[in-house]
Amino acid sequence: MSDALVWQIVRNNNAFLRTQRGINKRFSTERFNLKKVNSPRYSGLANSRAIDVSAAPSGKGVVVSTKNTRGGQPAKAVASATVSKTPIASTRAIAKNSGFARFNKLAQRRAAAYVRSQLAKAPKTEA
Amino acid sequence: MAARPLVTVYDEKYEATSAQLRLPAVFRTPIRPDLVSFIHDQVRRNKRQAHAVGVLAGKQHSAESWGTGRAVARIPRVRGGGTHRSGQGAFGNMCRGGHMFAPLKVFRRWHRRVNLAQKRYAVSSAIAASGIPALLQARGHIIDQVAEVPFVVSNKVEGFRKTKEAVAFLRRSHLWADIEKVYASKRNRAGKGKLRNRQHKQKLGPVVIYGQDAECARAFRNIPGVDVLNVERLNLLKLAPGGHLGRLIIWTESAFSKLDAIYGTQVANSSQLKKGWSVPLPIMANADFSRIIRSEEVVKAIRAPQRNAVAHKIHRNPLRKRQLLYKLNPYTSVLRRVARAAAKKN
Repeated sequence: MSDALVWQIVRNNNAFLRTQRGINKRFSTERFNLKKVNSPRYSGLANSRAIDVSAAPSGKGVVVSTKNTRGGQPAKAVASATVSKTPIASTRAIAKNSGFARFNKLAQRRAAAYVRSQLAKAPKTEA
Repeated sequence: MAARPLVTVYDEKYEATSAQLRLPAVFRTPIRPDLVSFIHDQVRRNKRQAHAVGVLAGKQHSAESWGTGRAVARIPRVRGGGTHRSGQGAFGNMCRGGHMFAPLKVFRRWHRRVNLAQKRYAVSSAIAASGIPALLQARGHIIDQVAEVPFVVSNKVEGFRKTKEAVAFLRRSHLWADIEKVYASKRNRAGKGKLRNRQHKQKLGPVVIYGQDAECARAFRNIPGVDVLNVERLNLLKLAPGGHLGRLIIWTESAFSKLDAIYGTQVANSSQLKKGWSVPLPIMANADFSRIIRSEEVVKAIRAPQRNAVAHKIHRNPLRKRQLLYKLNPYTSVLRRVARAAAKKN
């Protein structure tokens, strides 16, 4: 089934769609959606090839996953790599080398955001 | 697409067996969310029971209106004295103790006749959607570790009698993650349903479809979120709950291999069990929009994109945008400076 057709089916109704009154934008929380917005370009459902950056469960570094849908084999479709040393540069390298050059910058920014949030917070000084 | 020609059969230990089945033609049915949701709605109505309020509810007073001239509303009022009730409004839907607005009646069109061809189309469509991982995920199923979609298992699974066996099978097949989600989703229902024996709501897990042995339902039926169906009597309410496509289906080998006989192939009237029926054909040969617009024929026929289109200049008001004003009349900058200096002096 083509990605275009999948998009037409999931665009208005899927388990990850987030809408709220007063916010004229629809977000989507699925994996492989780099911007977490509901759009055909960034959708993780309606793109059979996609890249994802998420926080590493250990709390240090990020997990970079790439998806290459193989027929109907979900388990084999995803390849993940945890990068804890130089996460930002590594993310960029993975995105570039696995053929996601157009998402290069976005993946890098997402990785950077995770790294920033993982930095140890300065202890609160008493006023 | 979704039509990889062969589907591997897995055994109850999640090992691929040598058996490979051809993908039944029903998986090539066009996927029609509109039709599925409509037919689901129709079918759902056929389980309804008539309900209504009592015929006399809110009408058992000898109330009469006081008429005009008493500086009160003309609503019928309860007669007599000696109790607080007397003189209060009665009957109307706006009155305490009155009847409801448009009281429900039992004579109502509760059920719907469902067009058979449409119902079959909808079921076929739901089956086809269950073969597309993206649509399963869009429905919320957890299938990250599942080896293959559609997921077909050997007939041994039909021989299960104990829930323990069924659970072990689901765990090994990486389908337990979906059941975990069901456990996690159990919550109180909103509204009056709580009082009517529908206290909880939860998500739905996979549906097991068997071909021969109905007794396997004993093993699966107590696992939350799991439904068990006979392949010859598939139910749209279970295949597309809520009218949403893409339920996770566990097929047994015998059920899967019956599909072509039940739903037919793309040859006309090829179904053996449904008279005059075959798998619905798609209207478009190629529904891949991005491929169509990138195809040589289309690209050739349309003009090239205008890459260096000139952006229109936005006209701004020079009286507000000072820089524009200085551009039009450079001397104004001098005037302004002088004016400011004068203002400061004073």
